[in-house]
Amino acid sequence: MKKLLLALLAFIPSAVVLAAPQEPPAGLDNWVRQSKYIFRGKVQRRNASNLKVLPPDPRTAVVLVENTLDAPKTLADFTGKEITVQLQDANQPSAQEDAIFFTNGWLYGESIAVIEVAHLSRPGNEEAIRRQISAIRQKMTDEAFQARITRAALVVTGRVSATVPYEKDTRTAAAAKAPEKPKRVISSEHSADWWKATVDVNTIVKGQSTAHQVDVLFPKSTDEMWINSPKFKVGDQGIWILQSNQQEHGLPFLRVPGLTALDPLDFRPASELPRVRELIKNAQ
Amino acid sequence: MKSIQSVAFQWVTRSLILLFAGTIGAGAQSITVVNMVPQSLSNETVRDAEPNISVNPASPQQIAASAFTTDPAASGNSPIYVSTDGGQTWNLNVVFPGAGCGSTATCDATLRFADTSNVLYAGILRGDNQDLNILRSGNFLAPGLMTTLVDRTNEDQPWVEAATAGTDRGYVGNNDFSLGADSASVILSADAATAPPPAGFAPHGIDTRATCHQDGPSIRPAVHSSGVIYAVYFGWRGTCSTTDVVVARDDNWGSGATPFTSLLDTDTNPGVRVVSGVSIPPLNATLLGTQRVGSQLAIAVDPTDSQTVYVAWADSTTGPNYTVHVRRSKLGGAAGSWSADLQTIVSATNPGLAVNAQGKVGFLFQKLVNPGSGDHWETHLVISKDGSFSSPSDLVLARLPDQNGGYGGVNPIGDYDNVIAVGSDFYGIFSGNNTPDLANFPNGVTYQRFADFTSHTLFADAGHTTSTPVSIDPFFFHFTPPPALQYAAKFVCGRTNEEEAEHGQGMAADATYFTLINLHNPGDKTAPARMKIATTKPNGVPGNISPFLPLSLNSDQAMEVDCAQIRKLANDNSRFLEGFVIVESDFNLDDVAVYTAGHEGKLQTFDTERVPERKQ
Repeated sequence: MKKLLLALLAFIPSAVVLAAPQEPPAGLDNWVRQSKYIFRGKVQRRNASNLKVLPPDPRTAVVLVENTLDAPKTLADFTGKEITVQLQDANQPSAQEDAIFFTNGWLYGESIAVIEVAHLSRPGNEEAIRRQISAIRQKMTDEAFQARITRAALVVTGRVSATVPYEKDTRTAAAAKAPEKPKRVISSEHSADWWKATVDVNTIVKGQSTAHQVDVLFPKSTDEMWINSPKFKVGDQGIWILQSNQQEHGLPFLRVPGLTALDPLDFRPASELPRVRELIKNAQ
Repeated sequence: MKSIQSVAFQWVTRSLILLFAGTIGAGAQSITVVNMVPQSLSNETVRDAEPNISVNPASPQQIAASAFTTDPAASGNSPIYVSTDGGQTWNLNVVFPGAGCGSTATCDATLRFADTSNVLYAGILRGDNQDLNILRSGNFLAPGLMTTLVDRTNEDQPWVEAATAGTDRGYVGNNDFSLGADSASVILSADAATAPPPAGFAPHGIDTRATCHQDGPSIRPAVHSSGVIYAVYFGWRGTCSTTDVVVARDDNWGSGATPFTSLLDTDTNPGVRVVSGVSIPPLNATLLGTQRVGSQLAIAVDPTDSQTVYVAWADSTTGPNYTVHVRRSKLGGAAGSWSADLQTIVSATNPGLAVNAQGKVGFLFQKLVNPGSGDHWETHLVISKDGSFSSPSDLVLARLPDQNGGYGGVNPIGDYDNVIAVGSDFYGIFSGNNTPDLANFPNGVTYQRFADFTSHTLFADAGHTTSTPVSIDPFFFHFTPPPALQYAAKFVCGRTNEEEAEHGQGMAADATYFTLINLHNPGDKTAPARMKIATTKPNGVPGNISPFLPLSLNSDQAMEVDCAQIRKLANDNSRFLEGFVIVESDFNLDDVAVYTAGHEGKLQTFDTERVPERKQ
């Protein structure tokens, strides 16, 4: 019977009856990864909408959010409120049915409309599902962090001993063994305003370096293109997850060769060193 | 021969016209300002700056807008603002690919509906990889991302304009560093709506003169329905501390092998220099409060005359002197045809220009002022009736503190705002501090998000239990200027009070009065107009004013308005009703009132009055 149920589930990815609440239902990992807003709700009205901008149709239903299981911090709390769900299947869930909805945002107005990725009918042990979702989210966070570490050329702990504008660093020309062709200067509102932070290295966690110091380029600009990138000052201590010759952010003409830590994940407090070491070990 | 009653009738009507003409005043203008952040985002505190707006000309209730707004559900993509009720209420729809600028939003973004296709186009710098994308959508409310037509690197500040002429034409001004030192560029397409990606979009450099090593970031196109396309750009010279403001033109939709070369300057290069060698500050200089400046530019073409074009730009190198200028050419931008400054606004930024269907010019800007309570951003909409700016009207839309909540960057309100014209109306968008204080909005404001205008506090919830810190929000505005001409015709309808009349009291002699207003359009074009009823009351008490009823008369068409219609529009079934039928239009009309009065069913008087036009 269970085999039959699983076989049926494989053909009905958007609607699953939870057979064993203590075990993650089939597809849960995918649904969590594909959705940003997960809640338990009861279908109030089918072929309905509670947004003026969205005309009702057979695939839209007004759903009462009974419990929020997982949502971004930036999303308001809709627990106890009605929202509109665009269903995967116009025929389910039925009116007054209780389900866990895996959704993504669509319209945000006087209420919100979300698009269903999948739903779990008769969800049973909601707390178990919540824990499973939380575990998957933590796994995703670790994977994102691990991806930064995996692609990093160098991971070090240390302390910033000096900062200087990149273009005013006289050591740059002196240290250049083979002069590069001068890069064309571009002025843009999105210019990074590159600075160089000298980090006195305590520990090399990943990569090879014999130097006691490494230079980390960082954008001092607070333009929208760079405002989220870490800005360093003398005395900053922590873990630097350094990318080489960044090819990931800003107009290519504005990029510079060197080590960078542009993602907020690339500079972490020293207390996270055990976690970083574990992730490096896992990657190996 | 006229009877005594006839003379009395004329005296009554003419006296009342004289008595009340002064109280009606100029035709009402309509201004709406709306904080666009939807109610379901009442907890949001991000910097929703650098806004842009487009109204669907085919369906003006449909409006789309962009800003540095994030998807609350953190999808990794970015939303636009959408409205289907003319901007009264707004929703977010997540349609831009990528996020990662500012608070996980898109980077630079602009958008435009074409004229009749209902297709929305956008030009963005993606938030995740900063590539320039040109996007399109046939349904701006639909779920899912817009279709990516173009994906290019090393380009900055895309500015989209679009039109329909058989096919949709798209024009995206941008600073294309791949072109070398002459970086001003327009990516254009002659078949943007239906062709598969890249839908014919191809880049074209528009600067041919020597630059310092690039042109300025802002390149702005303007489209006329005849196929005349303008583009204005900053041609940076010397050490990039001076600039020319250059207008290029194409006379056939940019369809030739060398687009934007129709206009030659005295040096025989394409593109006429409106000004040369004016000083500009380094990009990102925060000369005005907390706001950076350096590349502020706008252009608009008169829809009634392809050869009348307006340009606005900002120059100078200090805050007190940083000045927005407005100039006009009535000869297609030709060398020597540019006016002197029509407007100069010091300590101002983010100019916007638009010309409506009657040739009225809207000039939007944001000016830093210090009213004694700290720096504030005043957002102005200046309207010139004839484009000369000789006696413009100046609407202050907002006077907002230069305080940016949790945002600590250099560009709190963004590098541009936007005003456009659709038909007679001006629509626009600007960003600023969202403190709910009616004193900040001289022409009123509506908030969708939860706000208490008494305590000047934003709230996350309807119960006002959790406060939300102030931040930068986008504000929509819609301005309907009064039509150029007003006709105020006196009406008298119904039966007076017999007893009062017998004692020389009441409002008129004892009779039953009728009024018929005849309107005729003598012109050769369709004349849109609007009509309202202003009723009077006895004893000097002002009466009621009805909403406007839109009208339209084709060439030589005529219509009449009788007492029944007047009562219906006035929503007043009083036995005796009088007042004015007020017709407003930008077109000359024949407005003739026919008055009759009868007693016991017999005609006693008959008179006609030709209603004079009043310019407003």
